[in-house]
This record gives sequence, structure tokens and C-alpha cells, in this order.
Amino acid sequence: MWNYEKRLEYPVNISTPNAKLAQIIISQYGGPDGEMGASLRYLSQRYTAPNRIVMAVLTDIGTEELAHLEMIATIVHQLTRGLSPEEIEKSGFAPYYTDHTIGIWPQAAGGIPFNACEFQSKGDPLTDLFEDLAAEQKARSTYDNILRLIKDPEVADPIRFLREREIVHFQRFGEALRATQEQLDAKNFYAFNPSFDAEVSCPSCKEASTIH
Amino acid sequence: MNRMNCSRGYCPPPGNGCQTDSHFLSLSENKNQSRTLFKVITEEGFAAYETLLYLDTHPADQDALDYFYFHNQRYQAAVKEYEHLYGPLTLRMDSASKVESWTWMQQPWPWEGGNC
Repeated sequence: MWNYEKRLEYPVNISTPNAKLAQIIISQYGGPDGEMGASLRYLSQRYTAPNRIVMAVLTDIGTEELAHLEMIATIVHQLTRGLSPEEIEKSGFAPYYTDHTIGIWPQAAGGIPFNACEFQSKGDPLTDLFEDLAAEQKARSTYDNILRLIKDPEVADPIRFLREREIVHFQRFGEALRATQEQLDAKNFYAFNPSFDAEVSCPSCKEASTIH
Repeated sequence: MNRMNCSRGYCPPPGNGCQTDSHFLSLSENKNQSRTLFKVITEEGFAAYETLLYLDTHPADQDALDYFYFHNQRYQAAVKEYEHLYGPLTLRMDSASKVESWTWMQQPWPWEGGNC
């Protein structure tokens, strides 16, 4: 169950529309390292997480990614609202406009539609956590690339916030990986899938309050 | 009368009309005050959420627990004040108070740039 809160995680207030920037930033909505893939990746992976720490990290970061998805959609929306068809054509936004007018649709900057193949849910906690660490770095690199292309401070400010969150999430996933490895044989971390072949002793609900 | 016993979800009784736009508050009303309060909600809410993520991997860190408690209290208080003055930010199942009209859509949606 989720509760919607009628606010953004970080404010977005863009006064000058610019469809050229919208075309770039839409990639973090539905592109290969975007927030849609991030949220679906973590929220899908958590069911086979090996312990309650990993379950919590995946649930809470996955939830925050949904808030980031909303921020990106808001940036794209505010960058395209009120534009005339002439302005849209001049800024190179016409191919997107043809199919979606100025609605929000998950695609990469180059027009490739969102695809679940952009993330994995492998059912193997070490595989999944290493993917999560890589995903945060890939998203951080994408935000770096975006920040090199945009000059408008009203757009750059929320993008910088999102970039910082990738770094915090990378840290938390590193800790989640460590918590998982501590339950395994240090001489042979990758011998088997701990969530399938030999389940790591996930403490029962009664014992959960004692894990640190 | 059981209005949920319906394959389409909630069934209004016959003759229940829709609210019109004239019910909605003017968006400019008390804008500065609501912006200030909204900023507090954003800041305290972020401090609380960021600490929540940290606590997921450091559940025994007493300083972090205190920090979370402090900011979460301030966040909850600011949300309560905002909701009292302007209308709901979220629809909570724990609210037992009976309301006279449905105010959920009166305040701007985040992408409209109303409060931030």
C-alpha cells in the first residue's frame, strides 16, 4: 500500500520553457538509467531479498525513486507548457510532439521507449545488489552529462539534488551488500544463490527487532 | 445501505451532482504564508526521509534515532498546520474526523508549481 503526498520531494519551479532541455531530461523518466527503471528495479527485487535490512533499503529507496520520477515529469512538463507549435519545431521537439503532444511518456532522450529489459530482477541477492550499485552510478553519470548541457539554474538546481541522491543511494546499497555478505561464507560469497539454493537464515518477525 | 457492494467500486446514490470549480479556493490566497510552511514541510520531510534510509542500515544508531525523531516531529507538526489551514496533503486512513466537503483537489498539484 502506498500513500500519495501532494508535494515534490524537492521543489521544481521553472519559469522559462525550453523544449530542447525537455528532450534531454525525458531520458531520466524512461531512459536506460532513468527513475522509472530505478523504482521498478528495487520494488521488484525486494521479494527475494535475503534479510530485512535489504528488504527495507529496497522498499524505501524504491519509494524515493517514485518521488524522483514525479520530479523529472514535473521538470519536463514545466519545460514544455505553453509552447507554440513553431517554438516546438524550432527546438527539435517535433518528433516527440507528433506522438505525445506535450504529454509525459517514458522514453530515452533518443526516442527509444521504456523497456523492462533496462533493469533486472534476478532473484539472486548478490547479483541484484551489484546491479543496484551500478544503476546508481549510471544514473549519476547521466545527471553529470545533463548538467554539462544545461545552463538554466532553475533546471540545474533540482537536477543537482537528484544527482546527490544517487550518491546517497549508492552508499546505502553498499551497506546492504555488506549486511548480506556478513551472513555468507567470506571465502566463497558467490558459490550459490542464497535466496534459492540455501536460504540465508532470514530471521522471523519475532527476532527481527534484534538484528543490527 | 452498502454502497461498496458494486462491481464498479463506490456507487453514488442517485442525484448526487458534481462539485463545480466555484467551490475551489483561489490559488493566490495566502500564498506567501503557505509557501513558507511548505518550505518547512519540504526541509523537515527530507531530513526525516534521509535519516530513515540511514536507519535502514544502522538501526541501532541512537544519534540517528534522535535526529529522525526530532525532524519527523517537526515535519508532522508542519503538515498538520498546513492541512488545517489549506487542505489535505495526503489522504490518511487514520483521520477519523468527518468532513463537510471533499477538499483533496483544491490545492494545486505539485507539477502546477503552486507551492514550491
